[in-house]
Amino acid sequence: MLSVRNLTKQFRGHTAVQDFSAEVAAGEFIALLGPSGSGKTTVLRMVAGLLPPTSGAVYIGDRNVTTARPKDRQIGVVFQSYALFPHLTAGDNIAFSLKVRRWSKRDIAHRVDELLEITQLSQRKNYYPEQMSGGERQRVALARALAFNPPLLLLDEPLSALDAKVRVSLREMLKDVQQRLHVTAVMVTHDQEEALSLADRVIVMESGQIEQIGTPEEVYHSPQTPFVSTFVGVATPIPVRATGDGSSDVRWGDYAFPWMLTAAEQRELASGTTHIYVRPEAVRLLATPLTGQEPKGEVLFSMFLGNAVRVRVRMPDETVLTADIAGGKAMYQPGESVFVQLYDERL
Amino acid sequence: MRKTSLILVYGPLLAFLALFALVPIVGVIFSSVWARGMTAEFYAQSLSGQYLNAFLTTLKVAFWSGLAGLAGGGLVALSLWRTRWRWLTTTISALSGVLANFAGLPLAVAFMVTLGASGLMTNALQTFLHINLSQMGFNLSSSAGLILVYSAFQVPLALLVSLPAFSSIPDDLEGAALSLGCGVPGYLWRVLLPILAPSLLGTFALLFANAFSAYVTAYAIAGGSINLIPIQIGYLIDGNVSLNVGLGNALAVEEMVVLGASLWVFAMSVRLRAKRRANVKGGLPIV
Amino acid sequence: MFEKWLYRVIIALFLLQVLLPFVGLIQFTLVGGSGALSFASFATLFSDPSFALSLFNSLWLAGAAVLLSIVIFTPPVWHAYLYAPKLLRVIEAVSFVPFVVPAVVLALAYVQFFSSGLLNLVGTPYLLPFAFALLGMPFYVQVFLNRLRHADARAVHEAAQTLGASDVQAFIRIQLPLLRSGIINGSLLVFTISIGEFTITQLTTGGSYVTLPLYLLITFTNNPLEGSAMAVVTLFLAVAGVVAALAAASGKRRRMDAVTASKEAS
Repeated sequence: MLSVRNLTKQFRGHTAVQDFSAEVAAGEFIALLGPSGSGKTTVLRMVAGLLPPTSGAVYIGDRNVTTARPKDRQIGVVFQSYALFPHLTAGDNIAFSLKVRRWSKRDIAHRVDELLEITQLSQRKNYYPEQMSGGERQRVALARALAFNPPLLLLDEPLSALDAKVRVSLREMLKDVQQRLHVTAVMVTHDQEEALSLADRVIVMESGQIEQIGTPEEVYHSPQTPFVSTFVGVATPIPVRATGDGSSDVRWGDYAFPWMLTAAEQRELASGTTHIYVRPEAVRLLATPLTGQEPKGEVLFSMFLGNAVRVRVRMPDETVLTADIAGGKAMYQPGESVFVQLYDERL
Repeated sequence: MRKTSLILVYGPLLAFLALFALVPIVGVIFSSVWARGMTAEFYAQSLSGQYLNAFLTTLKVAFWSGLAGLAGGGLVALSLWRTRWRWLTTTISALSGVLANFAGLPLAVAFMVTLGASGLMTNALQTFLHINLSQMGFNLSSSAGLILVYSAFQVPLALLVSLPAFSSIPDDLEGAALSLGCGVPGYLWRVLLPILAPSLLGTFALLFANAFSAYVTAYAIAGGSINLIPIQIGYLIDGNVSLNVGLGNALAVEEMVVLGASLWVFAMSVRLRAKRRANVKGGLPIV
Repeated sequence: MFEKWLYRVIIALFLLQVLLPFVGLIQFTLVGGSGALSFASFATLFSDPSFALSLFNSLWLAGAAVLLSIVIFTPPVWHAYLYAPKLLRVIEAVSFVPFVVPAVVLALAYVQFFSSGLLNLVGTPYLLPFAFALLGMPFYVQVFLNRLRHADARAVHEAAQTLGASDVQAFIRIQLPLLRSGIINGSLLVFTISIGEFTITQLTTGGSYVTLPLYLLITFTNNPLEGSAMAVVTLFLAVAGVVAALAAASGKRRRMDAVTASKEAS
């Protein structure tokens, strides 16, 4: 229901967003993921109508809203700083959009109570923003943006100002509310864990451009560019060459193993070497080699992550490999020798 | 925004500034060099004889009262900051605001009365310390007397202006300095003072400008017997001296130059302070 | 510790230095004339019709100056803050004009510029509210701007817009209540400056229009006792105003805490 076509934003001196296009279906939850300066917030503000694009168009349904003012776009926005009206109570903040639309007092009261209940804020209806915690304020901002039933909800790093534990519980509430109300949502974040856990599809951005659009699984397991590999999750770049025997295996030193390559990687491989990006879960550590081809490495140190042990291994070609070992041996000792096996789960 | 709304928003301000600031000031500057042709005669007059004296006296009064104000106000600000008495700080700040802005004339009256012939202070000094002010030749209308009175509201002003600078010092700084081996006086002298130096310089510039441009207090206390630039300008308006408006304009321009320079120093100190603060906090913007 | 006591001594000395002139003033007013305690000077003051007149003059001029300040300064500063930050810096810089062009110089300029033709305002009080507004401009602008920054005015304005409010609606329903304290505090400063202004008033009207400060000096010159009584009254009003403002500010805070406490108890 949201169609963004060739959106570009140029400021004097640099291009913040270059040719951004995406289609969002009704009811979808999209995450715009990228580091600071990637242009994701700029895209959001252009969709919201708070920033005019240099070129390109924004369609909501079949309506071209590119030049429409924010108040005419019917989009709910949750700002990074929440931007709650400090002189109004939580209830009045939520009611604001309805008062402007001249709803009846009864309907307003009903809707406000409804939203307070959904966001679990009924106790705080008559509180002022300064009397509430960060998590509560965030929920008021959410309820306020949803009050007038907008078909589209935009969120600008809504959870970044919160403590870790609050963030996790609010993440769940966000998803719950979105699904219950069937709102289409686009969320900007730099936190890839947040993006992967909440979104139906993720748009990864860097330097104003889209790196990859896909489901969280696709983006995580099949990153199409080096940037996506290293920004989403952890990945170690490993130099490989073709095996030359026609198989789909790649060769790292003497070690040949099957690996799924992206189109770009395949092209590079044809002309010599390329780098593949290996996730920590794809690495197995063995005490003794299986086929005799596995490379031997030296453990630098290991960290306990809770559900896995993360081990850093230095390989003969100076690559430092990151491996996550679920369960199994408790901790690996620095200096220990291990043999490395790479296993692509997609195959 | 639409053109008409923009005119409504900015128009009044522009008209106001043009009519009551820009045009009159330009007029003053222009007629300071014009008398049937371009001339420097007014400036020549303004920098000689009694007018030169006025300039020097004003400089003297402004400098010393500014210094006294800075020292006093700075020390009080330091004391308030170190003792962390929040309520006292708020109260004193509010009072200082009033004193600095509002109470010029009543304060002058208070001083005249307290240090006058039958004043409380005069009597107290006489009775307890056997100091006879009039015998000592102490005269409130002299430049020394004026410096004293000016200092009375330079101190609250300095306090008001320098207090925020103290508040912006992060709490951990002292702990860090002490853990590295210097004592509290060392911390004050080697860490605090250098950090605050630009701010204190700016405060002094402000105090200096404040005293240099003061009219009411000097007029009330000394009337005709003190030779200051603002007083002289006032005379030339009043027509007490033969109406030499060109001379008045020249004096006014000189005054504006001095004040402009002071304000520039103040502005620089603010900018430097912002840069320093960013460094002190590890380069992160202060929220 | 030695250090703490040093600071207390310094603060005490400061308070002493501040209070001494006032104490001396009050002492003189009550005792100075006859050597015995007497409120006669106050009696003389309050029965003086010129005092009431000068008070009235000062009040209406100050009120006019406040009105001018709010109307002329608020919209440009607000608009520039939200939409034209470079222009805001210019406005801020310009607002410091009274520091470079002090009251005496302004008086000199006005006497030359406004003394003939269409703009013959010299000698009348009608020039004064504008002059007072100009003198108060840096303070009003700074105070209001501080409030704008502190209140995150831009984000709140955008939020109102996305929620469906027109620019006018957003300004009146959201911005004004939000910024009200900034406008009030700025106006307070303009008011204070206007009430106490002497220089431009005297030099442009030649002393023919008597405001409170002018009357204070005239009275004191003719009758020191009555003059110092007037000074006492003026200062008392100023201090009372400050105390009232402080009480109001801390009262509001206490009320907020009470609301929270009662809600949590229920």
